[in-house]
Amino acid sequence: MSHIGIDAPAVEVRALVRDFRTRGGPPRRALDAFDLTVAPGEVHGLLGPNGAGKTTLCKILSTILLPTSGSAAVHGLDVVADAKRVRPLLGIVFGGERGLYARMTAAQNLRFWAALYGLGRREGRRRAAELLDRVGLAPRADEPVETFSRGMKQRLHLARGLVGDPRVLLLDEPTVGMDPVSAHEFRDLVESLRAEGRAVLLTTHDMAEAEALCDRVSFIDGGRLLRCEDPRVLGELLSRHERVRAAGVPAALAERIAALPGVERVRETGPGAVLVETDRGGAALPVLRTLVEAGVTDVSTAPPTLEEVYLHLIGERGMAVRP
Amino acid sequence: MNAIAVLRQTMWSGWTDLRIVYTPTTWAFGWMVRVLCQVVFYSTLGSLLGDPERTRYLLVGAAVFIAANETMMASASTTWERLSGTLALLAAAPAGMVTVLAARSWFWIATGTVSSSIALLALAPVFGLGLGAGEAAAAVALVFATALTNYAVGLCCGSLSLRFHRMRNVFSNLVLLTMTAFGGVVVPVSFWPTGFQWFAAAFPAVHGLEAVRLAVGGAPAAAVLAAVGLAFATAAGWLAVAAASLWWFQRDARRTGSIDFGD
Repeated sequence: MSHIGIDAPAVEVRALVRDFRTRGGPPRRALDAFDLTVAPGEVHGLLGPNGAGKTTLCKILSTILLPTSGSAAVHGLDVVADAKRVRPLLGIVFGGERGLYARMTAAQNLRFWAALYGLGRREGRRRAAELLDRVGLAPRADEPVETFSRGMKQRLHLARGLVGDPRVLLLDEPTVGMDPVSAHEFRDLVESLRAEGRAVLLTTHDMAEAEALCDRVSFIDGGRLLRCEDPRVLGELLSRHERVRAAGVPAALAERIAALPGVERVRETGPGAVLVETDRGGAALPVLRTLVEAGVTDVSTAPPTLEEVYLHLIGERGMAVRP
Repeated sequence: MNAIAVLRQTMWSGWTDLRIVYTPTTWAFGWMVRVLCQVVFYSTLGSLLGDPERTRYLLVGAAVFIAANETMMASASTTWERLSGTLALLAAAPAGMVTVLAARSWFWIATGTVSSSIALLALAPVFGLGLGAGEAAAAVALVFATALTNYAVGLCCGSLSLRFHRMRNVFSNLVLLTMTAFGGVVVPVSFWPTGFQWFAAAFPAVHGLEAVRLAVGGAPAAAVLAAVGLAFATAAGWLAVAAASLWWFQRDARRTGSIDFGD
């Protein structure tokens, strides 16, 4: 039997493969030789389009799905061989309305899950009260969850994920559908988890969220790891893809700009409006100069966002769902 | 793992589920009115035949079968975890899902006992079945035993419904139909060929119903207890199958990926 490794990576995935059977067709490969390491106390973002394999990875880590081959371990414990010992180390939070008992109160929900994580009655009550206070739901502790807003439910989800005092939190698109204020509050809570030394694996579509929260970001598509980077390093890596937006640009001027060195392409985004994409550092400056000299004043530049990085990495297919 | 704490919390969760099914008003004026009408209907058929014995037979059969009917609802409510999106979380929890799924629908035992007992005790004098206090108390206890033991059958159907979700209502309805036809509810079990009688004997509610008939008919306690014993023995078998089926479901789901986040 393996032992819990305090110094072992919080999550260590090696050559992980998961195939799903399809009716009458070849197996669909959701994860393909996937590698990942998440250190204790790290907030690690997992970015990818729908069907990229993010949730499959979370399901394997949470022990509800077996891998086809390869290995996955949580604090040194194999998720297949040591599933029973892995489960208390994990907290799972997914987005949306589901996953809570709507007729039960917030406190009852937490006490229910506390029991399933091995806490006795008194300890469960104490833990529920503490977590409700932490996520700002203490004043609503005794109200049925069905009366909660989406943001409140999501905070309760997070509290539920923390009820077993996990070392690793799997957050599967936790802010999906949240309003900006709730999402901001949620991010503050995740920040505090990092401060406590918990590892967080966060799957998301939200580039701003990943950039704000994550220590490292892994880009996944087709079940494969494309890159794993510090989000800022990755941003710098593709800073040469700076973009210039302009309005009131005549067609002839657009053609002149397209011919400038370092301009990758000029896209028409509306009548007279263009988006100039560059592929060389410093290429934006001559573009700006040319536009201003031609009398165009409605001009702006945008630094590369993680979304641009992401789209660049996974190509033109962008966020489209895989067949 | 604190199994008592898990059971207590699961039962509370089940109790809140009951409030989705009924409010006190809908239970009293919806469900109970329907139950009473159903029992009155069958009992009236006996009256129309001019046979007091047959009337009492139909009354007891229809009233006690309400307990079996309600506990078969456990088949549907066992799958409610999928609807609330908690199934994956249960599967990933250290306590696992088997205890929770097995205990969450307990409230059907309570409501089945109450509905069935009210129908039996309220309509017995109307259709000429005189019950003394002792007989009435025994009848309620035996109705409870019937509901309790038949819960294992509902749970078994629920475990299959989780696994074969698209056929979730088929299992319970097939079992109910079988019990109604061959279980001595309106037609004595002895009416059917021997093979069917053996088949009917596999269902705890058939023995529970027989125990109630014996008790209200003034049979010796030993005969009543023998029938109750058969109910519990067959229930143990169903419970074992249900537990194995739930365990198999969890293991199989891990292999096939049939439990998703949000399930």
